[in-house]
Amino acid sequence: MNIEELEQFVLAFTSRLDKIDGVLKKRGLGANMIPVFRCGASGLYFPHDYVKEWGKKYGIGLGPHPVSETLQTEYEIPPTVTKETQSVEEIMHPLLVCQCQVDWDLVDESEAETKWAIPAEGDQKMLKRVPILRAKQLANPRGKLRIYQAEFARVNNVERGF
Amino acid sequence: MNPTVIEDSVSIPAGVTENVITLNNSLRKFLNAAHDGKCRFAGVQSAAGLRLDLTIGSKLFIASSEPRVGTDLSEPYDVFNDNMSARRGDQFTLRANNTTGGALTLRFRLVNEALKEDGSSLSEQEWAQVDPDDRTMQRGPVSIADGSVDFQLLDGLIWDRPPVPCHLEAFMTASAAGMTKTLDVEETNIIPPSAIAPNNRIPLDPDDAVIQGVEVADRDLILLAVTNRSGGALNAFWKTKLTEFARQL
Repeated sequence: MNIEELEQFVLAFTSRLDKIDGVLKKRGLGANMIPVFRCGASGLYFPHDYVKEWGKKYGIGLGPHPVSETLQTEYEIPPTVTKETQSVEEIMHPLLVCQCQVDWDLVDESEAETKWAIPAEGDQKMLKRVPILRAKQLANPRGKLRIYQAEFARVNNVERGF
Repeated sequence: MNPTVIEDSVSIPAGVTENVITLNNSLRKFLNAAHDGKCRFAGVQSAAGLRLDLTIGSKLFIASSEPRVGTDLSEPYDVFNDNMSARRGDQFTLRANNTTGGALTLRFRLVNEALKEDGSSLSEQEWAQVDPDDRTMQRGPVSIADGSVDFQLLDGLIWDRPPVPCHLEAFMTASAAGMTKTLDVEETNIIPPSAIAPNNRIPLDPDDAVIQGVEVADRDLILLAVTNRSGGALNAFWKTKLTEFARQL
């Protein structure tokens, strides 16, 4: 096959994508599918404009190249308890922006609804994301959070005379 | 004489931590300068939300500054200030304010290099010969609405009017293309409206420098302004480095 024939062959498909769309829809394939960007670490989804809006709606301060802005836990760094710590709710392993690769994907709309990442732009103080990650830290056997919380509660009970 | 290196990756809980160095008991022995020296400080944070102040002895060198978001500390890019004097016995106070609701990691390195080979103290005459110090501030992201101007990014910060005559070096980046900056000292325009590199990060020294060697008299107002005409909200990042004309004894 020479290059002209190859070009005609490719054009025969690409110029009639509307027909291919029609065939897929008739068979129920592709219906309800939406484009997303998937975080390589957490598997959570970002909207289709994630890369286009990089530095505007997403990824503020994370450099010029799009990466995932989901938060992960640094289990290797222990929680810090200071004299200013007032309650067990303040004790946790530190969080980090994972900055891993994001991949474009087509996923079912109903599946995506359950896996949207919380954008950092709407949660700068992390008030929505911290409770989710604390719950994960408590459940994760790698975490030392339960040990620290129990010790904090024990010391405070002793100090208060319980 | 070997330099003293204080280096750690530490979890900073929500709220204010008065001295980060004391969070690690093994670093407490380095809390006071072991010799007269020149210090440099570098740091990165795991997610946006930390603000740092570094005081050596009674002198503030880094004020209300935000580190780059990253997991790897690289010099010289992540150095806040590499020209700070410490006298033997001066205490290093690294204050951190975590403005978020969760814990964040601060990776930092504070190096004190002796001014004399044998580590002995300098006389006052010798101190007068040492290079003057730098004072730095770095902030971002600062949100700028579309079609608006922020007339003073340094508004309300400690060194918008330097207390002593100094040379100013400025660094800037924007989160995306479409912003312009201007720099004025009192009524003199230093940088006319010009584009800001869209590197979307805390400015790196020296990559994101926009000007250096600007003379600023004591109490002169430094005006760093940005304009956003991109069609959507953008964020600005900036850093100022003030080098004293003469050593302050």
